[in-house]
Amino acid sequence: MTDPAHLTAPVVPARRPPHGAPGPLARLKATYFPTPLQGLLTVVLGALLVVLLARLADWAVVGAVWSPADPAACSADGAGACWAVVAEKHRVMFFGAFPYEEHWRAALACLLIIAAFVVSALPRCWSPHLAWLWIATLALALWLMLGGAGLAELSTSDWGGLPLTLLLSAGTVSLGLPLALVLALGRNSTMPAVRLICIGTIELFRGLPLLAVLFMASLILPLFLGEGVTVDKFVRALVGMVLFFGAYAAEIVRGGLQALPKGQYEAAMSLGLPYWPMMITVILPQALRIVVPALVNDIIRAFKNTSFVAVIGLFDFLGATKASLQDPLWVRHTLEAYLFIMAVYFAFCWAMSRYALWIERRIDTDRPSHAP
Amino acid sequence: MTAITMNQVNKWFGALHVLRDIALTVNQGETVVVCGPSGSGKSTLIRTLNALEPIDQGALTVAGIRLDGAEARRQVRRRVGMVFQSFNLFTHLRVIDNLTLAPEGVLGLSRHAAEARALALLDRVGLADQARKFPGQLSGGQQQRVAITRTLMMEPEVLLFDEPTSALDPEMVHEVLHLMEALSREGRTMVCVTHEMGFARNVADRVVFMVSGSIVEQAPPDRFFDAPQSDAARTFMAQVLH
Amino acid sequence: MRSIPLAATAAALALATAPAALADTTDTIQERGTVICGVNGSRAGFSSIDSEGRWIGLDVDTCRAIAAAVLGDADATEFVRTTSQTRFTALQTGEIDVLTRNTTMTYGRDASLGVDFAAITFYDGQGFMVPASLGVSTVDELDGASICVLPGTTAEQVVETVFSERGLSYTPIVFQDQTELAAAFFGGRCDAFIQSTSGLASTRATLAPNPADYVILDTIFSKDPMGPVVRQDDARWKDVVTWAVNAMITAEELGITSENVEEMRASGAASIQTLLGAGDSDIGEPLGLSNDWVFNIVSQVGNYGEVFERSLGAGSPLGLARGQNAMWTDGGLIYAAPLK
Repeated sequence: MTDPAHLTAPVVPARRPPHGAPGPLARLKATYFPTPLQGLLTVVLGALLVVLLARLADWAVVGAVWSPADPAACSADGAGACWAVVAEKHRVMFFGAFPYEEHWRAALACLLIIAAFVVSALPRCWSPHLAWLWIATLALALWLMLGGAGLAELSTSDWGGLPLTLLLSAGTVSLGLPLALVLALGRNSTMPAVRLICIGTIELFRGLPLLAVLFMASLILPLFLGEGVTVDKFVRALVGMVLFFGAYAAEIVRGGLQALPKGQYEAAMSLGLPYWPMMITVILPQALRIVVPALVNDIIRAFKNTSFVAVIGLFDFLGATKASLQDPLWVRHTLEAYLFIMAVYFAFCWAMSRYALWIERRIDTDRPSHAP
Repeated sequence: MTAITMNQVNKWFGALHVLRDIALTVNQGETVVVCGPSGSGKSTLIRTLNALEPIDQGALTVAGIRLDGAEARRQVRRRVGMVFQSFNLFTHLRVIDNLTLAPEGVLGLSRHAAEARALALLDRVGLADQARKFPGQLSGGQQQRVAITRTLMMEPEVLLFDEPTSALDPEMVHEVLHLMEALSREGRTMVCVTHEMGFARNVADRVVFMVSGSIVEQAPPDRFFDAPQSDAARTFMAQVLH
Repeated sequence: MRSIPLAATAAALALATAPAALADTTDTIQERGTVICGVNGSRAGFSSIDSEGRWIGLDVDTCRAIAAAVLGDADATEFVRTTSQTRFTALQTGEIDVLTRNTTMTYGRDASLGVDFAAITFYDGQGFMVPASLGVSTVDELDGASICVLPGTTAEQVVETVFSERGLSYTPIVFQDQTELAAAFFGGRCDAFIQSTSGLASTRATLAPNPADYVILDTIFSKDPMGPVVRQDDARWKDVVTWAVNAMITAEELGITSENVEEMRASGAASIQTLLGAGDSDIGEPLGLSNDWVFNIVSQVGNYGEVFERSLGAGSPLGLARGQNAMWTDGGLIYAAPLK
């Protein structure tokens, strides 16, 4: 057999390219000053930018009031941003009406959930064992937030702020993804009853706005359950959000299942794999990898959607901030408070979307295309 | 001993009659090559042999099992291995895991035993050092050889090949055909759909020639290539062996 | 009387589908160990959360007083935020035990929603504020004006009544949230702003870019007596709430404060000692509560005057004068039936 190396042995040995990569100065010129007109534009816009940034810095940093000791200082002439409102109200904003002495529990629960999300995001940790991680994390977080067995007891109506937002998001995702899988697989089922129920559920919750779903769960459900039977408000909100998220995610998963080449199904079947082992070991791992970017998108949206629960009286992060700003002493400085929580939301969402981009690239190198 | 018996098998895709009164017997240890112009139904025929395509009329017996229901399908697929044109390796698993997945899940082998068997088979085809890589990191020829090894892991009674080299770059076709030839010489029962006439002539025990869903001619390769009986076979030969 | 379609339907549904009345609320609460109160959560002075996340306000303290009376612990409370549209449903379905949510008592509500107003804790009214530049000094000059209102509130009904009685037209501009409402008015989105007088002066003082640019019209419209609301079917629970409020008022009338209540119990006048559960007093028996119930209220929450001062009066950013809410002995409307 001919040695394949002969096929790639170079006839002309390789050399370096003639010019090095263009130096930084040359690149700058090419990007910002390619023609005189564009160069002029660069200067004008640059000057504008500098002026805007200077004014922003002046408002946000130089003239800003940082200490909450004297609320009147914020309304004084020439005062800049009133960051003092954040200094004064940050506890309420972050934790809502959670008992002050127990804030450490809420903070710890938040960190646990964030850690679980980070671990779940690493591809090397993608295995069914992730389910155990989540069960443990949620159990711990619930113990911290509800108490009992050594900690002071609380109820879900004490929950508020960031822990509520995170718990709601974590619950929505960890319950909604399995639901999405069930609905997506059931939608392709051969049994007409299963197929109908799954299609019906998906179409119903995709067709209703989230507000309507939350109102249904929160107001109409108790009416029909009658007096004396009250389902926990947090649970009601969670059910609404899980159904809503599950319906959308189911369609995403279905897209992934359809995108998978039919050959994968055929190979698995030819090897004699029965349906469920085939789905769990061959099909779903690949289909889900395909749709990770779309799923992360959905998760980001679910995270932001938690702010809707304010309409049913739960104090999520945004709702707690709004409530905290009722204080007559600080009510004129809502802008800075909202800027602050915007930054927090943005930090979470931006992290998630950078992750989605990274994952997309990583998956491509992981699965280079096989033969056409 | 017959490994495969097809009796008056017919199949339609909608109104299209794709397999017409197919009668074919394959004995144990035989290597049969199925060829013919495109659209002749050869792929469809081979895909009925492990029930990837159902038949509409006729009787089909593979590896001693009459294909007539879900349970029969399950049994047949355990005994029949299939190699695809596009390899269909599981891209999210390493080579070694591709090989051990089915033996562990379907045959109930322990992880240890499955890996041992896998490494032994990979060694035979010279790919033992690729065991920890992902399919995407291998060349086409290597991937197809892994795919063949994957079917061998199940110790099948019959091997089916659906145009195994059609998607390969020419310089890699040889290594795959080489492996298939070795398997044939071992005495395995093989049915191959292929355009590689060199392989057919040197390795096959019988050539089956199809046109428009029917078997037009079947003969040992010497007779088929040197003295084709039908006009269609002659025309086909002229087109293929230019 | 104006009908309240949604709430009425909800009540009808709730009463129609519920097979049996709720168990005795007081017993349920004692079993559960907490009192669940429906509150606003965003109304400064009545129910809001301070910088450390603690609930403060007149309605919050009313709830705490009830908890002190029934459970002996003013902190055994759970606060559930309700919007103006969900407040009565929450009460009717049993989600909350009592609604302490700056709710105005009206004939319509009392008679047709299956609820009872147990007491009045605050006498309020509605007033209009307009930009001085409008040059308006009475409501009659507001024909065709746009008015910022909160939906489902008495303010909304007052505007409707006041304008239709005078044959004037107006355009309502609706918001869900008091703060947004005020922001819209001061931003110039509407010509006039209606709010209960308890909030008007403070809104002008804190939210107006220049308070001097705004005028509060003299006339107080409507009577807004506000107080805790309970379900109609539980007479005992209603009595508990009524008398908890009365206890706070009576304490102020008799000069008992959270500071001197211990002393008063030990060495005050005989009638006061009995009130506070000293010796062989059986003050708790009629309601089935412990004999300490009045003592607990005053020592843990305070008397009416103390609660008013820290929530709405000089001890709070609102700085409201007692006005209509002074004790009857000072010419106000706060009057409790004798607690004996």
